Amino acid sequence: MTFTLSRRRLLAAGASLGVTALSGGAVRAQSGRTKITFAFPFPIGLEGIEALAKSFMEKTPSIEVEVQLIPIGQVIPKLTAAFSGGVGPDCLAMSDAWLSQFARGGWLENLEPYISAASMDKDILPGMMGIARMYKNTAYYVPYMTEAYTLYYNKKHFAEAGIKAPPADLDEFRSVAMKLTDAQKNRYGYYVLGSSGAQVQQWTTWMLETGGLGEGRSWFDASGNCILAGDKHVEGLESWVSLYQRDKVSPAASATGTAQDQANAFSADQISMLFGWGGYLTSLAEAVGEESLGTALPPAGPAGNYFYFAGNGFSINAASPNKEAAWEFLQYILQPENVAEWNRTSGAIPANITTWNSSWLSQEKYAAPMSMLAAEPQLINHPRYLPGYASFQLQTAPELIQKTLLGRQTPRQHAEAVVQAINELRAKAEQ
Amino acid sequence: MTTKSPSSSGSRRRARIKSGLLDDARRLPLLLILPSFLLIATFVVYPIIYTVTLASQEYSPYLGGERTWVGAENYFRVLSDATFWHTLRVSVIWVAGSVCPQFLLGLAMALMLNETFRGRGIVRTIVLAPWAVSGVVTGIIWLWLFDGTIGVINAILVQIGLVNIPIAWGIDEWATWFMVLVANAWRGAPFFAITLLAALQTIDKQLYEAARVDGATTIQRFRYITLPLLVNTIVLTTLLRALWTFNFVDLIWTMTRGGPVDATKTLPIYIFDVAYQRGDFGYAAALSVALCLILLVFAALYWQLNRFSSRETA
Repeated sequence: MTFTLSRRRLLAAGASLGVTALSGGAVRAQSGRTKITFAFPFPIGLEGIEALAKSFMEKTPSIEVEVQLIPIGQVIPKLTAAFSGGVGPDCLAMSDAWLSQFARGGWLENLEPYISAASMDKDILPGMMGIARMYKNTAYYVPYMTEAYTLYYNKKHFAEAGIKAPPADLDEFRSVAMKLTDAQKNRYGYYVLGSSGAQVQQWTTWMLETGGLGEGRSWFDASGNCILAGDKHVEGLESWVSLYQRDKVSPAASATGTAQDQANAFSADQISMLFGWGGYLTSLAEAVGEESLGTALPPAGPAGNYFYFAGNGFSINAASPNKEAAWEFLQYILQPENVAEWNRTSGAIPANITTWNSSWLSQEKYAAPMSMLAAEPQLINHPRYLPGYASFQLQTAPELIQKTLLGRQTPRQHAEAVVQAINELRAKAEQ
Repeated sequence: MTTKSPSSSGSRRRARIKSGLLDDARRLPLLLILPSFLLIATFVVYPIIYTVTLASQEYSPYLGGERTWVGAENYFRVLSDATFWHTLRVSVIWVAGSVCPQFLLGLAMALMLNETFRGRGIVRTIVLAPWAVSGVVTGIIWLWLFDGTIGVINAILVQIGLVNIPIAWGIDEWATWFMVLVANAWRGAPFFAITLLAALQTIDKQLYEAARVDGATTIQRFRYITLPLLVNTIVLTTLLRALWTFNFVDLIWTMTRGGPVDATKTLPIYIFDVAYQRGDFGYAAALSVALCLILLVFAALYWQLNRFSSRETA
């Protein structure tokens, strides 16, 4: 008897819950408010985006925005699981490193009609629109920030060592790094970075500036083969590896160090120079002080001076039922005054070039990255559009460079392994 | 004309009520286990069936998501994959290297905590605290302790003059193993301490008193009383911990990312790489099935020993 009563109560409770849920839905439908979710996967800039979402909702009461933070290390598994199940956030911030992978999965909305209707691309740095259209020449994201692969240095260390300016070429880089190194004091000139982070850009800068770029400023020759195993390219890699092995201008631990370890070493005064993306403009300045942080172009090699550039953008989930509302929100963030203010607080350079006359961008630390971004003929087009290139950067490359730095393979073997991996990716893409 | 006697219709009604109650009585247990059954079917059985099916397909969601039936091809790939065998070997080192020191430390801690002394409650809490810390946090704590720039361990070694410059723990295979195994021992030993302490407290004190009267030394009492009475718990907890450690990714990933090169890349890390970095989900599923079969051996052993232990207790 008790069971019968309990069951009835349970059924009644279930029914009342169902009615409540349905009525809630009806209220939402009656109010006409559309709720969208925006996923943000980067550690810097969350507060700014939350503030923008709040001001957007005040101005547009018909749309409610929920900002969700996805830890950067979980972006690929989480979004892959969500997108392949036909769900996921309505719109999101996206790195250029993942763009091709998610676009190829058919999970991102083609944004060309939105961009052309808003006449948006004329204001965005051309190189960034090129990145946005890396897959099938179609924009799957709208760039909001851009960055250049920059040499960061500690001005105080330079002054103490009597060095007046950052190194202009690869030979000078070596001599400056040696001058700044005193292993007994646990002080090193440079950090080679062997684990995750932007390490591919580091050693390939030496290779490309010694051996030269391929067709269309790429890694490939006219017949589509990767050029990185050429004699001159290998020579460039050898000179980079010797900074660690022979000259010992980088801490021993840097062979397996991550981008975070590199930043920690710089912040703790252990190293004087490092290479990295735009996020360091803020974090390193906070660590060593604005007055001590210097930025410069990567040193030039015998074959020229070339720069890596990248950036993040906004995408819309192709399966979202609220694409128009999502675009309305993205358009609001992308307004020049909003995107400029948000990037100012997070220390990044806006992709919208109409904001480049903002006073905060005239600070000395922005001069080097902005001059690189404006030097289009020197920008490197690396094959981030290839399916599996993100995997090459994250998985294959760290293992290869660690092997090389730790003396388990020669730079030539390293270069040949890289060429084989990249050619395989290209062949797979062409299938 | 037939007439129903009141007594016969009453007995039929009573029988109907009785059979209804019986039905309810039969249905009740089924209804009670239904939620558990549904949960297990949804969250255990379905994923297993899905993974086994996926292992027979070529599937990359990053390449349009088309699925091609490849039969046993992915399993043959597993057998001829040198990285699979390497990561399996690494996993065995990881499990053996983790569980042994954890057990020894845990046993020592349990023996100590079983004694009566002032402040035992506080010491017990402190000793057991690492068990509450997550794998990622443990990894970060120990990574910082061993760090070449800001690490306390290197600072002490340099200050006492054992080394001139900080040791780069992460570039040498065995130094890296030392680093991760120490961190894992710190985190895992309290598990053994808790379970072994519980087992120690069930041992009758009179046995020790009798042995003491007979002149048994401390070592003899441990050898002939404590150890035999702990053996079931030791075997079961060790197996259980081995099973968990095999699947344990967060600590080793936080500390080494599988490096230097691939020296500490365990099988679960490799499976994650294959799925989410390479986008080869079919092959990752085949690797997962292989991992599952390996773990089944541990599970079968655990089950057998558990049965044996229950029978002995009975």
